[in-house]
Amino acid sequence: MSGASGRPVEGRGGFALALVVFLLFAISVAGAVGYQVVNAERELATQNRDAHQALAVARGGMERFVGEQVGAMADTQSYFIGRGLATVTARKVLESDSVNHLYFLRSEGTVTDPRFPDSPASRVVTTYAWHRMAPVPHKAAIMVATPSLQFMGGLSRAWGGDVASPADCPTGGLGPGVAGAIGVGMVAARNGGTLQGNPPSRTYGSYQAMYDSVGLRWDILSDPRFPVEFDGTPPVWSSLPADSFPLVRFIGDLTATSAWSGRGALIVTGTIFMETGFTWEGIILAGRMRDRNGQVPSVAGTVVAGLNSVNPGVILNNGGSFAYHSCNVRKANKALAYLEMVEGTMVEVR
Amino acid sequence: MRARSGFTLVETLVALTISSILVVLVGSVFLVQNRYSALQMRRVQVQDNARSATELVAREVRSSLNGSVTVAEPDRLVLRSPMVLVGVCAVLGPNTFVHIEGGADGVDVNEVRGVAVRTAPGVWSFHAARWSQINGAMGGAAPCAGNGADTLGASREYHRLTSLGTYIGSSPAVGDVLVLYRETEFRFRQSTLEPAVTALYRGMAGDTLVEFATGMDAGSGFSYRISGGAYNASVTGASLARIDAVRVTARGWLPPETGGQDPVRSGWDVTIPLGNVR
Repeated sequence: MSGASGRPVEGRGGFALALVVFLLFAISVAGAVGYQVVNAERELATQNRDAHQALAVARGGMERFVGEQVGAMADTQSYFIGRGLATVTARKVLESDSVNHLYFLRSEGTVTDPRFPDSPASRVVTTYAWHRMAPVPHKAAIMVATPSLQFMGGLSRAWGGDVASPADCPTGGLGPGVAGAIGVGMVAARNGGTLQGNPPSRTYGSYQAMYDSVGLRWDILSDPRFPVEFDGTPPVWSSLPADSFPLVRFIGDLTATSAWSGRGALIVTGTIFMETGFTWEGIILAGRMRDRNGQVPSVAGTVVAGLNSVNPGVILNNGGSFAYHSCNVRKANKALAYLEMVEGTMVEVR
Repeated sequence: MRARSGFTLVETLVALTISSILVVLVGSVFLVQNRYSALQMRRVQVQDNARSATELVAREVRSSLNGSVTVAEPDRLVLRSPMVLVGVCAVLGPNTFVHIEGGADGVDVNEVRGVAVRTAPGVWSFHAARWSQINGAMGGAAPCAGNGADTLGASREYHRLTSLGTYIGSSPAVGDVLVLYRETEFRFRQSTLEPAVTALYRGMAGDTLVEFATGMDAGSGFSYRISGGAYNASVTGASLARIDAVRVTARGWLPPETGGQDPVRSGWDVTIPLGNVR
C-alpha cells in the first residue's frame, strides 16, 4: 500500500494478528484438553456399559436356550438380544440313562461397538443342564383330574397292559404295564365298560397330588409363546418321516375328528372332544375332556387331561378305546423333552 | 492524506497498556482452563478408581456360591470363588472322571484350593484340596465316552481326578456337578504407591496381595447382608455361611492438585448378591 506521496504506509495489523493467533491457540489447547478428557471418560463408560451388556446378553442367551429347548437338543444356537449376540453351545457329557442326559452349556455374549468392530466386549457364562426326555410319566392309559371317571358300554375301554410289542421298540411289551385309568375321585367301569391294568384303576386324594405326580410344565407347554413344531393345524403326515413323533398344539377347544388323527404329542390347551374316527399314537395332554356318548376314538399311548383345573365328571358311554402303548409314549415324550438347569451352576467364567 | 512513518509515544503506551491487559486476561483464562482441565482429569481418575474397585469385587462376588465367604471384615473380604465347573461322567474305584471346560490346561490349577459339592438346592459344602492332591492326570475321555459323553474332538476336556472321596467325604456320584474353587482376598489399606491414599488390593489363592485402584478414601470398605436382613460391618462364625450379599463402599479420593485447596472425591455403594448369575 502506498500513500499519496508515494511513500509506503507501514501496516499496523501485525499486533492484532498475533493476538488473535495467540487467542485461537489458547482456545484450541483448552478445547483439545477438554475433548480428550470427555472422550476418554466416554470411552471408559462405553466399554464398561458394553461389558455389562455382554454379560446380560450371555445370561439372556443361556436362559432362552434352556427355556425354549424342546425336543431334540441343538448343538449351537444364536440369539440377537438387544445390541448383542449370544451364542450358546451344548456338549453332552453323560447319558445317565436312556432318557436323562447331562449337557455342558456355554453361552458367549458379545456386544460390538460400531467404532471398534474388531474388539467387541465379550462375556461367557457356563452351566450344566439335564436333558429330560421323559417328561410325561408312564402312569396310566388315561389320567383325568376329575372327581368321577366312568367307562360305560362295550366300546369304552381303558387298557393299562402294554399293547406295544418288541417289534415296535426293544422294550415294547416287556413291562408289567400301568394302571388302566386314574382319577382324583371315583373311577369305575359299568355296563360292559373295561378297566384293565396294573392296577386297573387308581385315584389320587386331590387334584394337586395328581398334578404333582405328573410333574408337567403345563403352564409353559400351554403358553402360546412356547414354540412347537405344529401349532393350530395337524401336520401333513405324508411329508414327515414315518418314525417322526412331532409336537402338535391346538390353542383352545378342539373337536378331534379323523382329520386330526396322527402320532406324537398332542397338546390341547382347552377342552378336547374326541370323535369317532380320531386315532392317536403317543401322548395327548389336554386342559379338559368331556363326556362322550357313542363317539369311539382310539388312543394308543396315554392321555392326561384336566390340566387346566379340576375336570368335571366324565362319562364315556361307548366312548372310546384308550390303550397304553409304551413305545409310542417314549417316542412322543422325546418331542416334549426339555432342559433342566442344575441349580446354582451358572457361573461367569470370563 | 498525510503519510505516517510510525507511532507516537502516546500511541505506543496506549497499545502496550491495552495489550498487557489483554495478555493478562488471556493468560488468566488459560490458567483457569488448565486448572479446570487438571481437576476434571483427577475427577475422572477418582471415578475410575471407584469403578474399577467395584467391578473387581463385583465380578468375583456375583459368581461365588452361597456360603463362599470365609472372612468378612470391614476392610477385608475373603471368599471361595469358582474357577471352573466340573461334571462327573464316570466313577471307577478311587478315580472320578470329569468334564472340565477347556480341559485342565485351561485352568490355572495351582490356584485350586478345594472342591465345592452341592448337597441340596442352593446349599454347597466346601472341601479343601490342592490340585496336586486330586489330579489323576489325563485319560478321562474313554470312561466318559463309555457313559455317553460326546468326546469327539474334545478328549482333552475330560480328566481323571483321584481320591476325591478322601477330601469331600464320599465319592461323588455320576451326574454330580462340582466346582473347583480358589480363594480370593480383597483388602482396602494404605497404598504403597501413594502412601497418602488408600488402595484396594487383591490376592488370589494366598498369593501376595496386588495393589489395584490406587486412590481410595479410608472410608471405603465392605459390609455384609445376612439372610436378606440387615447389613453388618463384620461377620464371624456360623453366620458367615448365611451371607447372601456383599455391599462395596467404594470411595475414590485424591489429594488436591498442586495449588488447589479441596481434595477430589467420588464414589458409591454397590450391593452384590452372591451367586446372582444363578
